[in-house]
Amino acid sequence: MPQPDSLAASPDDAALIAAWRQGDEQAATELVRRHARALARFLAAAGAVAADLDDLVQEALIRAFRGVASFRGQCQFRTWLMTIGANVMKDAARRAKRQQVLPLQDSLPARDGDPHEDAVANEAAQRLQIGLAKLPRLQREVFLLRAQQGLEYEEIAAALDTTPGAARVHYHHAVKRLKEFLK
Amino acid sequence: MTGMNDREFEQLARQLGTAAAERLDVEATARAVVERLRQPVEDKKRVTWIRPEWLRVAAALAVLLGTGIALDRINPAGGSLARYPLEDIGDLTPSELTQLLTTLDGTLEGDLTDDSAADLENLTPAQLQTLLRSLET
Repeated sequence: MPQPDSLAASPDDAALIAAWRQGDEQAATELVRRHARALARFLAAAGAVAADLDDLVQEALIRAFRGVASFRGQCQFRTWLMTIGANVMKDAARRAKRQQVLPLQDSLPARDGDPHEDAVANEAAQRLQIGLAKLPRLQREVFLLRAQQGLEYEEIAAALDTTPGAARVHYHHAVKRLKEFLK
Repeated sequence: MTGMNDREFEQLARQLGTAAAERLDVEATARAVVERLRQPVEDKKRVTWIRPEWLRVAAALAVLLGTGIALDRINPAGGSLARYPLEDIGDLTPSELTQLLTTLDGTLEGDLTDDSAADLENLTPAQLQTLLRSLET
């Protein structure tokens, strides 16, 4: 059973969001400190190119802060942020495909060219990440929110606008396909 | 890789992206985000999507216009036949237009193609009015 990440308590996030809506930049800064790394982890696992990770994280945060009025508290701020991040990634992939500037090799999840890290990189993790890239988007997002972020199906369903039952089915399909891929 | 149990699989999944995320400079990200939030929102060119119902209306209008022209050729003297249903067409809803097209199809396939009705010039004013009313409904 996946263990939850150490999420910041919702009321604190809610207070920071309310402060940001009043124009408090310190509140925005604190929200970035709390959630940027988790967002980066989610995006990297979802297949973000390492060289683009900073930009994707920033873009997702900007969109979130500018569109915070549409956050109704249906899920945790971090979960909502990740769904925005997934959309940002999708848009970036679409633009890259249209511009055809990325060679195939760079479109794979990168390990940033660090020889030592490349040497110790876990083959299974690499294969899992490649397998994840082959999953349908919804399955991939449900899998990561559940397995990587440790969220409950209710939370995942609220963030992805689906039902907990459907989220559960997506997760199990994803696990099955990934395990087959790892065999 | 074979024989990986559920626990190992979950452990592996939890660690995905960790190394890349560790390289993120959170403070620099926070500064950059706040800096960008201070800038005015770009006035991006909005793409206006054409609603599907309007596409259907446009298609229906094109078909009606084409039908009108075709009827004009069948009966050059009876130009009003082609123009009459177009007068108030702007007020019709998509479903009304669809209904009108169905009626028109029926009229063309039935009345106008059989021998007795092939020559519209032979219709009396009363018959022509009846035909036009049938196109309206």
